[in-house]
Amino acid sequence: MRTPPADTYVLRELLTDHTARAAVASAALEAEVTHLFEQLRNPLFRYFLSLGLSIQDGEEVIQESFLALFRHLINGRPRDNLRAWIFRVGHNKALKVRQRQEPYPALTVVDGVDGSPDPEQQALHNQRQQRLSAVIRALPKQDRACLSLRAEGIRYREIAEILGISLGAVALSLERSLAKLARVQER
Amino acid sequence: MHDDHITDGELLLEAGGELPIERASQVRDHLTACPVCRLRSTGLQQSLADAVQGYQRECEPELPPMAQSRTLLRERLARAAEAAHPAAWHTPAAWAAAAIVLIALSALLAGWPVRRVHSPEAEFAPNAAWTPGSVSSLPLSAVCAGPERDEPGAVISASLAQQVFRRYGIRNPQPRSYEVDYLIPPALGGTADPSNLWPQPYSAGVWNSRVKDALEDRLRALVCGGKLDLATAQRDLSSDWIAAYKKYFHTGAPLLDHVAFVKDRAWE
Repeated sequence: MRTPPADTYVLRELLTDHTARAAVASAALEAEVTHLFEQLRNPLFRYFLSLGLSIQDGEEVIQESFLALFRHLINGRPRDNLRAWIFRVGHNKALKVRQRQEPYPALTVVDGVDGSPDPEQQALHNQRQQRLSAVIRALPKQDRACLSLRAEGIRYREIAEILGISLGAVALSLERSLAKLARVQER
Repeated sequence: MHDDHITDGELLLEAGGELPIERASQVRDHLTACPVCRLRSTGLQQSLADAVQGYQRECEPELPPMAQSRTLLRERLARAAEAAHPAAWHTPAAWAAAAIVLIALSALLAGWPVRRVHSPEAEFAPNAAWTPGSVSSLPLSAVCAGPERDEPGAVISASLAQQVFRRYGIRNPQPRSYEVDYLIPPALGGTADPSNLWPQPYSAGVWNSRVKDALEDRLRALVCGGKLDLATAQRDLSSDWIAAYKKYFHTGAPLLDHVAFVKDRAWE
């Protein structure tokens, strides 16, 4: 018969203590939230920047969102679809920050990212990207949010849940945005 | 005549696989018969792909490094935990228990492929030299007449799987950790040859085998529905399946449903 590791005995004894159990649960949740943070921080960051938040505000909203997630979990609240949950909570926090700041700050457009060796083609590509970026920046808030969330791999029905709108409204929003982008492409 | 064309919104939902089954079937029937809507659907998907690309290029370079943010979050979580259970953190037993759990979790997470989420996507891609992909000479009709998914008899033999593992330098593959996967699945004309097989980790980051399975099903539906050329689907899968996923699902990251998608058997 195999002897369990010494740590197992130690842990079993410690778990008889209620306070120890609470500490263990809390430590496990901290690890889980940190793990989710590593997965979702960059997608959330990009989304908040697309909503017009500054780097500093984006960072703060992300921190607050994951703290909210920790409190949500430690209180035994539902843990279904935590990715959609954190996007929804983050979205609402970001909107509150945005209400204090108008208008949208301009985002940096990155040039020459296609690696094309032909300067003329690259210039045309950059011009097209700049036009696209300008159109995306000028989209109404909800349309911009729908497009950004889709770009982060969120399904349409999840977008509806995050933004608190219907699935049909999500489709209509994207329809409008793509029509505007298509007009830019045709120029 | 097609007096009632499909709206752009419904074309988008259909392409994303998010219409109710009955309506999706009606839309697909309409698309089969209506070249105007087919063209619009293709144009919409291209526009969406362009928009996604523009969005990603615009936002990605601005992100500050992860490490500092993570450290800050850990400090705040520790304070929040203390606020939630103040008594728990003032006993030696609690500290010891928490330390043991954290050590165990750290070890577990270190082994978890999810830690590799920030690694290059290429880490999870098949090696083109060892797995270039191979296809049969079956015509489209025969490919589409075959089963949509792998039949029990099509499961890759242990000896063939071991050949693939050896080729990739994996000496002791962990059971249920990999799917020895077809780069081009039989449902799209791929063959059971080592040059068409690679060990795909189930949980290796977000671009795992479940996500690829979802792409395979999508491509099969497009090919057998007459919306995509078989050779194009095979080429897209064999050249860069992650790029193909982004292209056909119009997204920069795996869709939530696909991350947990299960189709094929795990290697045991």
